[in-house]
Amino acid sequence: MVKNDSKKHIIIGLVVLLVILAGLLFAYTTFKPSPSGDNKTVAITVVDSNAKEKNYTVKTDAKYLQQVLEDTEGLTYKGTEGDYGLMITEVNGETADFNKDKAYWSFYINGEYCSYGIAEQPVADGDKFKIVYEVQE
Amino acid sequence: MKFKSKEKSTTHLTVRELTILSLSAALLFVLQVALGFLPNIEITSLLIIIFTLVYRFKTLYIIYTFALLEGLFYGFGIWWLMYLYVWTILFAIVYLLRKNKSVLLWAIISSLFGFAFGFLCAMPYLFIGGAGAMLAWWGAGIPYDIVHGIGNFFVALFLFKPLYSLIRHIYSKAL
Repeated sequence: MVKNDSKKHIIIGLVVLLVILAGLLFAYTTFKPSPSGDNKTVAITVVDSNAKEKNYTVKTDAKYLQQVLEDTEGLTYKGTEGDYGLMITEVNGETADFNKDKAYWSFYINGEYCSYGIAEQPVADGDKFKIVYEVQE
Repeated sequence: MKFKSKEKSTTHLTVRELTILSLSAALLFVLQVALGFLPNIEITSLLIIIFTLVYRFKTLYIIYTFALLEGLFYGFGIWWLMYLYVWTILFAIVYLLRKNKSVLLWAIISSLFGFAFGFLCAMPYLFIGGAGAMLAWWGAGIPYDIVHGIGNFFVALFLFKPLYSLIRHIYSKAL
C-alpha cells in the first residue's frame, strides 16, 4: 500500500514536471524578446563620467545589442560574464567600478531602462540606445 | 545540576551544532562559488533539501548565513532580495514533504524548484517595474530555468543518497 502510494506520487510528480516544462517552453515562445528586420539604423549615445556625450549611428543587420556594439566603429567595451549574462564594466576605455565608486554602466532603449542583458536585448530599426555612466546615490 | 536534553529544542544550539551549521553554510557558499562557472548547474538546492531533512528548522540559520555571505561576496543588489526568500520557500516545501523517502521524488522536487527559480527570482521586478518588467525578465531567462531544472534533477538523483548519509552521520555524531 505504502509502495503503491509512493509510486503514485512519483508518477504524479513526473507528470507535473513534464507539464511545467511544456508550460515553460510555451511561456518562452510567448515572452521571449524578438528582434525584427534587416538593414536597421540604430543610434547609440555614450555618456561618460563627465556627462560628455559621444554619438554613433550604426547601420546593422544585427538582431541583438551586443552584435550592434561590436559593429560600431570607434566604440569599445569590456565586460565580465556573470549569472545574468555579460556585465559591462568598461566603455570607451572608462571603467565603472561598482565596488570602488558605486559606479556602473546603464543601458537605455528609447529612454527606457533596458530589461535584458546586451546579448538578449533585441534591436529594431530606429532604436536609440544610451549607455550612461551612473553612480548609485 | 541537570542538563536539558539537547535534542528537544528546535532552535537552541549546542557548540557542536553551531560548528556544524557554520561549516554547512560555508560549504554551501564555497560550492556555489566553485560551481558558478557552470550556467545554472548547482548543488545548493540539493544541499538545502538534505539540510532541511537532517537539521530541520535549524536549516534557516544556514540559509540566512549563506545569503549574507553571498551579499558580502557579490554585493547587495536587487538579486540579493530574492536570496532571502527563494531558499526559504524550498526549505518550507521540503519540510512539509519531509516524510518522503523516495530519491526520485526529491529529484522531481529539486527539478521543479529549478524550473520555478527564474519566476521566483523575478518577483522583486513586479514591485520595481510592474508585471511587464517581471514577465520580460522571467521570459528572457526561461532557457536557463530549463537547464537549471534538468540539472537539478540529475544532481539530486545521483548525489542525494551519498550526501544525505554523510551529513546525517556527521550530525548524529554531534548530538
